[in-house]
Amino acid sequence: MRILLLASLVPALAAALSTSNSFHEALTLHPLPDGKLSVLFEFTTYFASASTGSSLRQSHHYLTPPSLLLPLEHNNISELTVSFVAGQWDQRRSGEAGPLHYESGGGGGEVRGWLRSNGDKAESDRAWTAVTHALGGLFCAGLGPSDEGDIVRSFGDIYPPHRGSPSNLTHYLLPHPFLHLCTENLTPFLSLLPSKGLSGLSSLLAQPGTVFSWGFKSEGIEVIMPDETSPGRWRGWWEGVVDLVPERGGSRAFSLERIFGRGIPRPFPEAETSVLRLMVSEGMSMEPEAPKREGKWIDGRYREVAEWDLLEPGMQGRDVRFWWDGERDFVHPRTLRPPSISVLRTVTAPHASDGTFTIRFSNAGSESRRAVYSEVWPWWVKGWISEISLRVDGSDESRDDLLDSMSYHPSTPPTPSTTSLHLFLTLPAQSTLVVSIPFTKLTLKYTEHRPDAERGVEIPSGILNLLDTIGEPESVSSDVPLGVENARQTARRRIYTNRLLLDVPTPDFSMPYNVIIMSSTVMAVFFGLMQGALTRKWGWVELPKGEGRGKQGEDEPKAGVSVVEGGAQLAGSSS
Amino acid sequence: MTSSGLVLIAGVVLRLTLFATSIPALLERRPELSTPLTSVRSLKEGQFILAQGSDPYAGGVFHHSPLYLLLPAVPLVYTLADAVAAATLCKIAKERKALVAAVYLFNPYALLSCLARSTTTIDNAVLIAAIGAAGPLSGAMLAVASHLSLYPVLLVAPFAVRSRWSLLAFAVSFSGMTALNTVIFGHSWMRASWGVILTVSDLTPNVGMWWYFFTEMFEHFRSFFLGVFQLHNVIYVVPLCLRLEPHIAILVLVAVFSTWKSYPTLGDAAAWAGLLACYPDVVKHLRHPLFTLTVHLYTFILLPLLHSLWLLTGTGNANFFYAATMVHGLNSSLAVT
Amino acid sequence: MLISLRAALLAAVALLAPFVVGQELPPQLTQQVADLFAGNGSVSSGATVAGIGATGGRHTNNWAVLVCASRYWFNYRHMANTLAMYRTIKRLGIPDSNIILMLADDVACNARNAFPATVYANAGRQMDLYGDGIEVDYRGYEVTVESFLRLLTGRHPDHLPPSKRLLTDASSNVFIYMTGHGGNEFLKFQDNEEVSAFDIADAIEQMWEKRSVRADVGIGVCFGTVCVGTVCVGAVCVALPALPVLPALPALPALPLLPALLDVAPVSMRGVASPDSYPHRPTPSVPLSHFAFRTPLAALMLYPHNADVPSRFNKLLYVVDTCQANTMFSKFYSPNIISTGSSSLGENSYSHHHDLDIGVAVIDSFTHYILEYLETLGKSSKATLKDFFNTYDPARIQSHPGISTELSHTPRRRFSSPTSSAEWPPPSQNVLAASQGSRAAVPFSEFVHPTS
Repeated sequence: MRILLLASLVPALAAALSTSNSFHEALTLHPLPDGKLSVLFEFTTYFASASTGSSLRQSHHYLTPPSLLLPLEHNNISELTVSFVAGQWDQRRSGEAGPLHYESGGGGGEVRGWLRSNGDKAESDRAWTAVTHALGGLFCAGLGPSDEGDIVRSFGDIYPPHRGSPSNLTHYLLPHPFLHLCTENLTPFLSLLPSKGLSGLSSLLAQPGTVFSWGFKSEGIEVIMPDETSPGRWRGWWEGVVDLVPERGGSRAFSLERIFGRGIPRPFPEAETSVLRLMVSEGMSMEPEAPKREGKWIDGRYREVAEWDLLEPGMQGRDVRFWWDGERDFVHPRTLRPPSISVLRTVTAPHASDGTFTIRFSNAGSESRRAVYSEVWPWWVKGWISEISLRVDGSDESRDDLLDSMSYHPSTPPTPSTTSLHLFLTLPAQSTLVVSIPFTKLTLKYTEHRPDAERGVEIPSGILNLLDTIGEPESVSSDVPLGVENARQTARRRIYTNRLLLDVPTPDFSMPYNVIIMSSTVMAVFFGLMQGALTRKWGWVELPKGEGRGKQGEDEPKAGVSVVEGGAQLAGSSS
Repeated sequence: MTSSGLVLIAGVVLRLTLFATSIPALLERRPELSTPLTSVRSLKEGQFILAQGSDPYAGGVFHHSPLYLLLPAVPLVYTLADAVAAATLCKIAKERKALVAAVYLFNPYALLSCLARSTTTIDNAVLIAAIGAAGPLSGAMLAVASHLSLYPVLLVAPFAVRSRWSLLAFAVSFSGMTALNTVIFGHSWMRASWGVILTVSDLTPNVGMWWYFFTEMFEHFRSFFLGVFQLHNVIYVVPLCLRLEPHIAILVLVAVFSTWKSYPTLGDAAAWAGLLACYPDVVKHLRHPLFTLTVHLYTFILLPLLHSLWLLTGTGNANFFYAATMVHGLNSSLAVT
Repeated sequence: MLISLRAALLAAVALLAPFVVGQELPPQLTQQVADLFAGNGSVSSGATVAGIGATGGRHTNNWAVLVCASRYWFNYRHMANTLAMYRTIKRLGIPDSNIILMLADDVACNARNAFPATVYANAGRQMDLYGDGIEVDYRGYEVTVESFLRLLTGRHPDHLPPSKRLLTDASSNVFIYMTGHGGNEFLKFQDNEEVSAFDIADAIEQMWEKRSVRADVGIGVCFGTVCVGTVCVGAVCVALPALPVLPALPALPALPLLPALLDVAPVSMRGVASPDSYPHRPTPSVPLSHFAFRTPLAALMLYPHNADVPSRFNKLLYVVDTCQANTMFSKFYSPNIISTGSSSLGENSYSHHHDLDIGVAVIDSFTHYILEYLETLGKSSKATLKDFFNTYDPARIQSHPGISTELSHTPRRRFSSPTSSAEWPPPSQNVLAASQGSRAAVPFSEFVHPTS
């Protein structure tokens, strides 16, 4: 599988070698069945290794941002991905397992990467911390670990390196599920691009008021650093989901002008390629007609892709319009075809102290699939591994046979740390596998809560890593009919669940003094009573005649024990 | 057959009958009956992880003593533990043995914590067996009890007063067990079991007064108050041994740490209530017997109620449960003194 | 008995200083004098300490710290206050790289914002303050009292990116603007913790003091030190001679030790700068670290070494908009500070107006009128801070803004009440003119664009 991935990358890299520094941009429009449109910007830069380039060390930075690459180079990074996701990708309604860009992470922010290590763990950790903090400064977001324990190290198999062998690389993952995406993250993203949001496709993106009104948003970069033999690549993507149906109903017809408020922008002169793509859906027409239409395997389906070259003279300033023939009013389909594999994670039995993660893996395909499901929890989520249960939807029978094995890295409370859990699953065909993981929430100290503790705390997305995908073949025999499906012919290896917001059991934040005082009082009362009991002498007291209480017996000692201070009137011996 | 024998059989039958119902499942996760250090859920988790071939002490999941890893967590074991405890109590008591056994076996605290399969039941049985045994055997039993829940180590002094040989037996068996565990599991178990008892790093609510105190504590003073709270248990050992006869000192010390240990459960109170029943003279001289008994009943109802208000329905907050634990703690203190 | 390395170092230096300085100049000082005459432009410590007023030519750059300390959507106006200030000072010439913007929440992309990625400070929604080129340096949970004080004092972990540091020096004029919910001598951060007027005053003093804390020398013993929260009071400190000065030990007469101790004894020591003693942060084990001493006195004692690390600002303008805001700067004691706040003790600061579509108040009154004035200025404006303060109108602002300039002059002038504009005696000259030499005092160009 890893070989396959490499194989798919090699032609691209080889092509890039000829022109060692090049910049490519693409805008892909993907109509979704529920009346929405996924809009994906991709900006790819290939750059030569600094050592094999010209004598001028900085020369390779004319297309690449030194503020991004220098910290990576300095800290021995081999590959690095930063991803921000805001909003939710609805797998059921969109009919796709995730956004069009496969490297988009789960909810919130996330940094992951491979570091060239020389075996010195402390040095690698330091480099990783330094690079994440540097990127956090770059992206206006706290991307660095707030504590060393936040770093997850057991996800190397989930994100195999594009290049090099895992034996001399170390994988790091830092999930920040609470992060979101706003203008201050888009601004640095644009400034990293050679076109700076001024020309080319990036100028369409440089409209925060427009792009942040979209439903789902995903921004990210993926950098593969050059080595001795091959050039580096850095790719930035921005994806959003636009609702095409007007508020009061109507047709889905749209155009670049309607989405972005302007037509095809002025080309960026350094761009090698600049293309607009449309994943044609049934009954779609466009104006001007695309000069190039071809079939492609994309995410398990053979689809028709229309392509415009925006660098062609005469394109600048033109609008491109799209419509569905004969559609007056878009009618939302009653049934939507689900993606071949979808994952839904919810918390059931949600109490402030306990709960159960219920993860539903739906396999709509006709063959069973093999996959690893991975979770990352903060230290205060204590999963009960012995109580994990599996069943297939529709029956109460336990199907523990579908869990091949698991790998469990528990956290070490109360120090900040993470638990990671990998479940090796078989997803049976045409059915929904339901995995339940009961968990308990440990009580956080009053100082460990967030300022808005009552809101809850986000838990990173779960990741389903498919083990049996075969990639998206480049060359296809021409007799494949459009729309044919093969769930395994996809390069999407990872499917993310949504992040979750968990309630945490909160103490009363105004109570510290009261609690300290009251608890100490109880303790003091106890101590006082004990001290009193131990320092007093106990004994039988003989009461003088006539001084007894009322009419009590006159000539027998008082039956009972009374306390005598200081041993006065001591009669019996202490016992 | 003696009347105490009948009581024993009745207690065992009652437990086994109740185990057959769905009641134990309801009780297993009650924080009043079991803490993370004594719950059967954690125990099974630890045994599961061990069976998977991993170190159960590697993460923060398992805090039981390594001795429990070998224990099958089946109802019979817990029932037998209670029977052993009751039988030992009968042996300690000089008169009205049947009543003593009944007080222990039908004490709702003991009964419920047995049904909840909380290891408190076994801790209690070992502790009571140690108190009931004589000579070196008592020292060895005490070593086991200390290994299981650490606090019985405070009883070494009165035990030593009772019999010098028990001190030696304690030292030998305690260090022996520690060494053996360390050979098998490495050092991690000590941090995960005793370390948690001493540093109170798991703040899951329980009936004690520690968890909320250390949840709310300012970071600067945490270690200071930790020391104060732990020393508070220790300071009573010497004066009690000096002032009281060893068996009464043991009784009072058991009462002290069942109230003030870092992770108490209601089951801990059962142990000392049972011991108390053995000494009718002491019962006679309790200061507020009726009052403490009724308040115990009151907190018994209050604790689960306020706990659910806070954590299940979300209508109350943490102070509710804290108030209940405070009433419980204050009342236990009154009962002791 | 407590042992504090740093305290000992300071005390040891204090004891030795009279002898060392009395006999000959320390090597660094000699070097500096040489540099000065050689035209190196290196600033001698004597000039910085004594010649506060005579620093006219040293102002080369401007920095701004803008803090919105409030979380939650209904505090939209605090975000808007801060962003409006951000936009204005950017317009007047401070580059983004010199602005540290702290926003405790994100209202722009809040789900409740009907106008995504925008923030407006007026009801007509005329100008989007968020714009398309914003850089927020501290965002959301990162905005804490600790990060704010660390930012001012420059005590950061090594890996913190430069964009999150206040990289000022002795030639920087610093503008600090804070807004949020506050009260008498405190400002709330995230509705969760507070920064007190004392904390800020001490942090600014540290910025002013040009000291390097070196923990590599000396052993000391302090008796009877009591710390409550961040405030430490030391009773008696005794310095054991530090290692490097051991040879000098026999030369030390025993008697001077006593006055030195008496000097130390009554000083109240606040541990604001101690990275270990911030509240609300887990301190890794060492409780003794709370007793580390960083005192005003310490600065005095370190005097011979001060020349190494220059001050972190030349002049400082502090603006705060919160309830009882004037109490926030009432504890300042460092020189070269001009402060102004929105309302006096016991007074609330009110919002100015709200927007019906946004659904919340969009700006606070004080900030609104400040900006109304500042928007009339351009980069080349010659207006002075006095002109600016003269625009304050308590009737319109609905509170009594305070101005404090008593710290901005040497010798210091005292005014009866620096915190009430009603009692503010109009100065006979520009408030900054005295310290500006030939340059005219230009308030926002002074704080906004470099004088090069």
